[in-house]
Amino acid sequence: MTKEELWQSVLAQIQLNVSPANFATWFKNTKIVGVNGSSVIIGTPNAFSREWLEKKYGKTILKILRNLDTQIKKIEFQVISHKPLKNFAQKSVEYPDQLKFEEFYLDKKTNLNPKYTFENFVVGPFNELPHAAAWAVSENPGSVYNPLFIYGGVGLGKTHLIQALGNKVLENFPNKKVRYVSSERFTSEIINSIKNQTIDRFKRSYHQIDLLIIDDIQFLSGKEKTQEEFFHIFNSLYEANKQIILSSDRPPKAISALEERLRSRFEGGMIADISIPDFESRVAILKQKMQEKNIFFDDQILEYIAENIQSNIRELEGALNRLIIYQKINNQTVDLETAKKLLKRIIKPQAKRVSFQKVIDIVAEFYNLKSKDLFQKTRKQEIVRPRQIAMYLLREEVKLAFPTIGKKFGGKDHTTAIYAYEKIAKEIEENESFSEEINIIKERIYTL
Amino acid sequence: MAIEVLRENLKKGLQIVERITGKNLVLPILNNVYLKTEKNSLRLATTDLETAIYHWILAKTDKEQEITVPVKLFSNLLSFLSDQKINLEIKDKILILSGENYKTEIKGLDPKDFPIIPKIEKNEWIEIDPLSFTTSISQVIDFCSTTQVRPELTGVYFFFSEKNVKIVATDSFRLAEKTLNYQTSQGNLKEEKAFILPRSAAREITGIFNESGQKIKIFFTSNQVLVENYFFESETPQTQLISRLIEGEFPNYQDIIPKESKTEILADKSQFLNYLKAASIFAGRGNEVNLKVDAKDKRIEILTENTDVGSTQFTLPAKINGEKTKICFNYKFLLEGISKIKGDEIYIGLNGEDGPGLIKSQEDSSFLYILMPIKPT
Repeated sequence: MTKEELWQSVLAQIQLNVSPANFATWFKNTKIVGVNGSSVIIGTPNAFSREWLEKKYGKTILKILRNLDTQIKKIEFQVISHKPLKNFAQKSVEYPDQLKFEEFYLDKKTNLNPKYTFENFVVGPFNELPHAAAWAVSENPGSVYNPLFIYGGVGLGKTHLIQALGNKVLENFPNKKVRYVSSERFTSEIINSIKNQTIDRFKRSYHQIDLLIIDDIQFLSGKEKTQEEFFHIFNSLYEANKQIILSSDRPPKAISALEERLRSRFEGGMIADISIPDFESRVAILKQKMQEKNIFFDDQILEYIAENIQSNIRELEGALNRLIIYQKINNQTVDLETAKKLLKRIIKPQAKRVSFQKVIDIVAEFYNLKSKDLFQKTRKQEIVRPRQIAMYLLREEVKLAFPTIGKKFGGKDHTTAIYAYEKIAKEIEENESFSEEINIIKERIYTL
Repeated sequence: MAIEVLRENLKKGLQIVERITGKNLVLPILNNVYLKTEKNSLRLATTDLETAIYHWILAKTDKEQEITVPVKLFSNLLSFLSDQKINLEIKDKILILSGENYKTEIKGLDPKDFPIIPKIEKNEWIEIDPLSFTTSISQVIDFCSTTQVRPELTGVYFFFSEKNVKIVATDSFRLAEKTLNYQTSQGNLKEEKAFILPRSAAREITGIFNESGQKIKIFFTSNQVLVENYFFESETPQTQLISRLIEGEFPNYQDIIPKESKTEILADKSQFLNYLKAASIFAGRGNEVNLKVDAKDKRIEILTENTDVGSTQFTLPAKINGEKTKICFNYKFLLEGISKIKGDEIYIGLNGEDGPGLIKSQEDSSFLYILMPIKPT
């Protein structure tokens, strides 16, 4: 008989001899925690029930146990801690936009947020590949797809996916040392340990990890010392068959000011991108979110949201939250008309105005240049190319005329602008990774 | 034979112990007070199975007797009596009260059925000033979490160290920390002690011990804590409160207290509160109030907007250092925190539109309030 069955039969007999109120008060959450030779240890939820069971029911319980198993000679009582339910998905329904101390929700050892799991990650054609790769890694860390490099735009679920992967590995292999770190934090750890002369300890702590997850690796761009330290950590983990997961908003090729040796390391494993979710996936995501929040809206409303918010999952959730607040406060169900009114501010009119300066600023920032660099009179390749891209985008997105574009770039001829436009347009068609690069820039122009 | 007590003492005692009764509907005996005669005293006891309270009153007794009777009824009756002295008699399961002009019989329940209150080993303890201890708890207690999602946040966290005790509560949106320095440090703590006390027990402590005049002692064990006060200038306990502790680990909250802030503001507290309350009338459904701060303007703008009602803007002169910023808070959270701050001038440290804000008194930094903003849209 197992301990559970043993206790079950004790409870079954006791319940006949005590009042339901007493039974519910004193026997709730009790169990046998262990059998130690001839003595049985009974766990109680608090000190009150320990005292009560020991003094009032001790003899009866022992008698019943001995009838079941003559080996038992003694019982002991112990207050046991029962694990609280872990339900991190719950948010304040009253104030869904209220920020909270995220640090409280992180696992202290791994830095992972337990709310991110594969179970609440919606899979669609847009993220099938990275999901499958992440899943495979979680089953067999270190031996397939190492490093796993996941990239995609803002708010498409990169962090969710790589954290879910970390949590799954912990579930599958509780003894593995997992660490999640954002590249900003990684950088500041390095800076601090150089300052405090604890760089050796820092390195050692990283060398012991079985699964290292670094989020937003593009922020290492231009930070040479950090890149160097990271390179060594990367190599030693890689050689020891430890798994490395990286995420970025762009493919390794497009990360500027990244050492060539790191770039080639990143490209050595599996690279998977998360693209923009299709309509069906967006509806599925909304449904998933509704389920988490335990609230339900009409399909029409979901389709309306999914049709109008296309490029960002976080915004989808924001729209849903807005409807939830309305429903909570006014205590009435939201219909399609109300939803349209409520979401007017979030759903941007399709033709959003983009300024000349914005295109320049974002292109320059993307290629790690200053905005004014683009106007330099130079034929240096690292300037010429971003300049051509800026011209292309000014034509394509701002709809400026070619002569205007030429004039803005220090009185260049309109043919220069046409040449740039056609060159870039052609390359986009031919080179897929370049087209992705342009998409990322476009996305930034429209989201930032 | 009779037990003789002073009515005033008995009444006060019952008022103390009845605080934790009346919540349990399953076990009727939890609505009762357990009376037990001891040498020269009558002991009252109640429990709700989380917390237990003992209270002793001086009494003339002749033998050991015990009974349990409904405490609300007992205390209700006493408030109508005017005799100075009361005679009590226990006969089987009946409590008989008698005086010059009355005789009352209260039906009781068998004391054998009363829960056994766990004993506390009085090994490690600390002595503390009751008034400052209870006021410190009152400063933070409102900020405990009220949902059961994270049980460890539903209580008040205490951290006793050599020189002071830190008393902390958070609902993960905001956090309040009070540091209380010991005036006289009496006790025998071998090491630092930390525990999470259920909010209800913390509340009872503030209610019961705030008028304890002299001193109170706190005794620590691994899963319970005992607080007691004493008969005037003696070592004889008068009231004891025993509470279970909440299991789990309190978050490493020190990490979230901003060490330095990007924008620092000094402003008049009562004026700020006043404007904030006025602005709150126009706050939208999410209770949003926006603050705009720019060092060169030397003032804070307090803005609210409600699409149905209208909008408002107040400007408050302030000393400002650091970055220009704007931030959105839940005005209720802001008001609740500021109203716990003592002193005339408040310090507000802001860290961008999605970073934590730190609020404290300019003169006294023993109380800190940290609040997260509402997500900028």
